[in-house]
Amino acid sequence: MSEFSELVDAHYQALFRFGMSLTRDVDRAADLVQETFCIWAQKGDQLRDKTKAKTWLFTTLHREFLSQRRHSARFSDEPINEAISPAVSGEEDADRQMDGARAVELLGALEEAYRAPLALFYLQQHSYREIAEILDLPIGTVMSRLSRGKEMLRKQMTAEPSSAPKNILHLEPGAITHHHG
Amino acid sequence: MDKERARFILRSFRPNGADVSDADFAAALHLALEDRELGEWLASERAFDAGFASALGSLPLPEHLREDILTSLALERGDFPQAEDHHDAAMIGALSTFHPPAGLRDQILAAMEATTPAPANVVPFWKKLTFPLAAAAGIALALFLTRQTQSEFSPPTAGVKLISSGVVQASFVKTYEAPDFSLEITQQDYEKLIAHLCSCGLPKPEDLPQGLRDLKGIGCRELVVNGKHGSLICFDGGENGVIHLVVFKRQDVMETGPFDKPEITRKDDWSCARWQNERSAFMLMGNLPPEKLAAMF
Repeated sequence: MSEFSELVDAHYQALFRFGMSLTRDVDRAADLVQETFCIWAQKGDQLRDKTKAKTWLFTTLHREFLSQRRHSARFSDEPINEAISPAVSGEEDADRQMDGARAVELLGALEEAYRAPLALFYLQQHSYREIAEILDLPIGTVMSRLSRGKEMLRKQMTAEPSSAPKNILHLEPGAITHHHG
Repeated sequence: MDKERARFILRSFRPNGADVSDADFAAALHLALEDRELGEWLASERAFDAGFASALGSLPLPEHLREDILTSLALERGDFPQAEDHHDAAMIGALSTFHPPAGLRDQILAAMEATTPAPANVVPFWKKLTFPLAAAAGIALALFLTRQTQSEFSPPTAGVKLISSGVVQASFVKTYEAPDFSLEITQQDYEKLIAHLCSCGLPKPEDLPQGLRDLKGIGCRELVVNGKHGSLICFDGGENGVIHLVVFKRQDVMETGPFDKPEITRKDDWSCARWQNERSAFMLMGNLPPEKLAAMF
């Protein structure tokens, strides 16, 4: 298991944060990460260039997310995980400092096309070329989405709280616990 | 390079400086060094990016995520014995009390033997006539005897020489989802995949559906189902996931699909299109909605 442990230790945190950026749901993000590593256990030996393992893992997680979303209406833009994410008022929202939950919330309020490229960019694990490979997008498209997405993000951060989209996830920073056994 | 172009490029520059040696950014960074306004903009952009990256990186992790992943991996690899709960044990025990009817095995073997075709050498016409009759009688006898002893159980009758498309599909899924699944070669170039299959004497598609022609290959391998040898070619379908083309000789498969257009079915998470031509039976499968599979034709 040491080989697996090393791989897990190296990547599971960034993968979880990428999963959170996509799903805005702790359990689903955790499930995506687990499924990604299980797929690695089944098929990872087909990857000849092991230095590509990180890109492979992120690609697989993103594909799994798309696949699950296709098969289920559960991945909607509706607020989720209410039990661990009580909504806060506008004033509290405006005062809240930037933290992980707020970052996920802001990313989640963006159009989906911008969410994954920006999340990967801010996780700083991949160059824009690698992001293009992971998302199976042309490099120019990734650059455009990063450029436009960052502008949107800035506008969103400076906008009045009341003008922010309502379909965003509110997470209390210390409230994340894993609900699966 | 003008400043707007430089800004566009530098928005993809990671705030931790990981791209500093990337030649793609060299010209834009050089311009930012020379142009004060652009330099200030870059400093502001990097400060914003660093703040956001730091916030995202501070997102707390579920308490037991790492342990859960490692446990899942261990189970996936069979490193831990699966715990058997009381309910499972009770069901296993209950099922083991069922016994097949006496003589069933012999009846099945007799029926199978009777359905085996005669050798290829020339036989008198009367044997040609009587052999199928004997086979049919054998099957009928086996059916009759079995129904007498256990009315709920229907023994296998014919089909021991051909494989059904359903069996092919099930075998493929079982093979593909097995932990030790692998491809004989991994290769994006479709022609090289075909060359490999030809060198192995395996069936190959003469033509591809329209939607497969632009896809990159992933790899290929032999697929053996009940002694019949077929080919499996995997394509990278992008957001549709991996698309699998299975090819068998037409004479090896019963219930082959239609000639003119594919017949599309759905089972569990798998969509399957099957069709045939004069030489081969084809099945195209993937974890995607049937309409997306249909759009490939």
